[in-house]
Amino acid sequence: MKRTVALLLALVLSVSLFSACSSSSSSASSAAPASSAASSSAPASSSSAPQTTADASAGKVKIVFWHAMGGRNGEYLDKLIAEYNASQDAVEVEGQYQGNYDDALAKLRATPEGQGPDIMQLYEIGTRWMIDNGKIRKMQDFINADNYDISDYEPNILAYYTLDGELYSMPFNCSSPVVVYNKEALEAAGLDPKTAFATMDDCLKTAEAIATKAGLPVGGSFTNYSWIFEQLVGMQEKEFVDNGNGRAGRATKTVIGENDAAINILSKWKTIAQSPYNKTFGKGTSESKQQFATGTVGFILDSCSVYVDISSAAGGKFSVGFAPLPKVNPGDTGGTSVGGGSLWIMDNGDDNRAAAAWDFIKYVTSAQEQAEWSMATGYLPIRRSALELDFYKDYLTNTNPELIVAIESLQNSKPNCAGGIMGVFPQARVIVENTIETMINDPSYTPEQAVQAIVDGINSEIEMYNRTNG
Amino acid sequence: MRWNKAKVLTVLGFIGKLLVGVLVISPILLGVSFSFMSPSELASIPPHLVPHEPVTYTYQKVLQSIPLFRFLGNSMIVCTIVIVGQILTCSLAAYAFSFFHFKGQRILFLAVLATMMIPVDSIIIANYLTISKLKLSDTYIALVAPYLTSAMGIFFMRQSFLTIPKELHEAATVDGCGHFRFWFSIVMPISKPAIASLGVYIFIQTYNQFLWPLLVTNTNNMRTVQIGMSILREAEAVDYGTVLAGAVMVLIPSVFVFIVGQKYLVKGMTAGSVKG
Amino acid sequence: MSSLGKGRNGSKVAPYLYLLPCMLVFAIFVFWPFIKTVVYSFTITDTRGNPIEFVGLENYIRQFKSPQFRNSLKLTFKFAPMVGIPTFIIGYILAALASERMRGSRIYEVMYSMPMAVASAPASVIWFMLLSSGQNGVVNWILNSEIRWLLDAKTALIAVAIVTVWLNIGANFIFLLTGFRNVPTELIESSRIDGAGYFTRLFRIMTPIATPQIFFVVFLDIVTSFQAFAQIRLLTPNGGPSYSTNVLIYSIYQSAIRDSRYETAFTQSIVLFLIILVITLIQFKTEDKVVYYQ
Repeated sequence: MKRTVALLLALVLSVSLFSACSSSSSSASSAAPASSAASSSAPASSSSAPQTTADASAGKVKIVFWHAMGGRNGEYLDKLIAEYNASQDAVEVEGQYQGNYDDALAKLRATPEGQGPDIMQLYEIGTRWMIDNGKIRKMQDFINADNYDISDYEPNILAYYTLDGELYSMPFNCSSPVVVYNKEALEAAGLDPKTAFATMDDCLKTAEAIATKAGLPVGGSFTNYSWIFEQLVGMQEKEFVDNGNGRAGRATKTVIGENDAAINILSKWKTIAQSPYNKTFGKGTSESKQQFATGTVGFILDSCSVYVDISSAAGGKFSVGFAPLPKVNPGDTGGTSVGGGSLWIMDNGDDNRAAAAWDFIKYVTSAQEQAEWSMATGYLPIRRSALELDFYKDYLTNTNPELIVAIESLQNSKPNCAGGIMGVFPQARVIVENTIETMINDPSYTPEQAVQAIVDGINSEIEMYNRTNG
Repeated sequence: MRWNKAKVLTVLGFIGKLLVGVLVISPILLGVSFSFMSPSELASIPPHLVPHEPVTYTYQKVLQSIPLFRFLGNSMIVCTIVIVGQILTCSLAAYAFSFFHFKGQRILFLAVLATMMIPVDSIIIANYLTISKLKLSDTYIALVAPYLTSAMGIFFMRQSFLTIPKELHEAATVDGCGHFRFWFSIVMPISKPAIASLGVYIFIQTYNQFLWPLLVTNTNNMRTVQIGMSILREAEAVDYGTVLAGAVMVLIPSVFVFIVGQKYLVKGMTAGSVKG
Repeated sequence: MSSLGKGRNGSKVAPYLYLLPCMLVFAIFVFWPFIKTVVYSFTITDTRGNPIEFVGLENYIRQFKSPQFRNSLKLTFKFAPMVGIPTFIIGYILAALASERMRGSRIYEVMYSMPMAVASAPASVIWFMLLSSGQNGVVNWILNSEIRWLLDAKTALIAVAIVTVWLNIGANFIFLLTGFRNVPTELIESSRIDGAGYFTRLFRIMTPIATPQIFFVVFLDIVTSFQAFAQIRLLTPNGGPSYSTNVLIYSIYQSAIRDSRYETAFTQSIVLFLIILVITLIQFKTEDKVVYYQ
């Protein structure tokens, strides 16, 4: 009974708001490019929060945006939201930080229908789950309905979020994997960054040279992070799962065993792990990052978004360089894909709120905003024209020249290296990292055993997933 | 002043006990010390126990990253409500278990204890659903409701009530004192030490919570300190000194409350020592 | 059970009224979701936790066949005594040291119980540094070793146990001290006059009188060591090096919160619940024999 009343109320409200929104959304989108002028007044808008109730009665569509950006990135995102709210008067976005991606997703799953957010930021590996269960609206539908031109969006980024030719969510905070190296150490070892990390074998030689010639305690750390492993599958231009890498249909098994992608990586990785010049700092990147920042490690593998953090933690004691991710085999033709997160429009049964969400997404992915976002956070801009903006060019040349390496390696990639999609990717990552860890630490554990364990582990997870998503 | 053997032994014993104490709290002391170090000093070999080049930017960075004081305020409000709620519900229940004989007593008591054995994570999602359905997300009610009683509190209060001599209750009954008055004016006052230690315990448990507050809050206005701690860990992974500074700032209130609580605890102990 | 005699006055409803507030909270937030947990452990659930298929014992059979689960079970039985026993012994020693009230004793009382004031998140942040794998780690520096505490499958569980013990000794100390201090001063004085030594007093008088508290602390140690969780998650994420800290309670968290495999989480929860239940029942069988009520 109560529910019906609430639904009716919502319906009435949305109908009454419809005219207000549709007329203003067009004006908002045309206002977007000029937003930088409005952005200077942003701080004032944050103090206007108490007025929201008054705004709502004046006909604003209020939407909720769940995100996973804490700390400095979260702070900038709040600013971005405030800027957007000030730039137009049809939509009011409320950003809500929900912990990291895992926490945010867990919460989304447990939230009853209609009480969730209108926009959801999620990691790339949550894509399949969102499509299967998330009660979402396809981004492609908004693009088509709006005749929105996405040719300026970097195709190698869009590729990840595109299934069967349709874009499901809008990339927002994008990063790509790179080798993060200590410039002075590499120089002292007499090596050229262009060739030092060309292949996995080269990485090992470089680690040895840094340890012996530059005298660092740890030559290099081939970071045990499943994302890197996935990227190395893409570097070989091979697929991770079946059914067109999970893009033509739901994946039924992983193919990294049968297409040799995994064994190629792991047999080389085993050699690296057994070398005294390489040291692995647990799973994931958090500890390797810390160790690298102390200047005692020659290189690590990480996301390009770490530049600002590591440079400031290094405190001028050394400088940070980026190199493209190594190839597995010298003849590899593939490339890297993206990590990070994208924005989903959730289906709350309300067209106005969905339209408002789309308007916000257009705003935050404008070239101007993406360039500023990149400068504040270290993520890559997803718009090609962002790279042509003068202030961003300045930033790339003067402040963060290494980011160019990441941008170029992404541009040099191919859409078919976008990476696999499956509903159990978060679980798969844990399986991959734990297995690689065992292989690194246990001398008798062979790469073949590791491949088998990874394949079996992932396949049984996929089986359970498909069984419950009939 | 003459120093006899016993006196010397007492002083030595005291010093010894203090040294053991320093050992027990050494991780906290080191944590405070580390929070004033830059990443490169944290990496020094051998480790520096005190900062050679102390930095304080770590603390500023914490306050820039998270609205710590707001989080602290929320934690304090939640802790207060939970402590009061638990002491009331738990001591009432414990009274029933120790001063009454009734049908189903043993079963009910076992049911209470069994709640401690249930892994929390399996029911936390269901509880979140309940809170969402009641549209209580992002309220203090949501933060405190599931924790307004605890098996731990009931069990502990019962153990304490059982040490109250039966003669006391018999005498009270003879004097015409009903159960409720006996509970309120005799049992509760003489159980002060137990209540005090339980209060401190509940405070720590509640202040410690992470998953539940994360689920039921949506905005920084309602969030508690442990969430702040986790934001910091994710955001400042590279600059570990800042994470440590956050840890220290989160620690200060709980350590402070604890030291104050300890005082009442000892006072309560003296006042409540029951003659056998 | 209570040795208080029969012939209680008061109405028959009274005890239930005293229990009402707590039972209400339990019913909504513990019993009801737990009943769901039991029922759903016999089903397959979708990724939102709704049951979609009744499968009988399949989940249980699958779990016991899974090497991952058996590993978790083994780790759980290893971890609980690794934490529980040292916690109790250290707490007992500290409480015995502080049992006598003297001038200034409050200083070390506060120190001994201080770890209790430390939440697992800040504690993990600090211990992460102390247990650093490099030579910059304080623990390695003291031991003059190069152990990769949290990164090595052989030591990670021990490292996490050390932190858990440290976190728990404060509570053990406080509760045991309350027990020791409950001993009537006359008893101690008269035993002094009788010429009893410190250890005689501790073992013959103080410990027996503190049995209600000891009984409680043992129960607490059992329950908390099986459910120790936050520090494991923070110190060794994703099950630790090669799943070496993937104890049952952590596995449940992973299944429910990260993997949304609710039926797995439910099944594992029931198993863990039964383990703790059986051990506690054994403990309670001994209550009447060992616990001394004044």
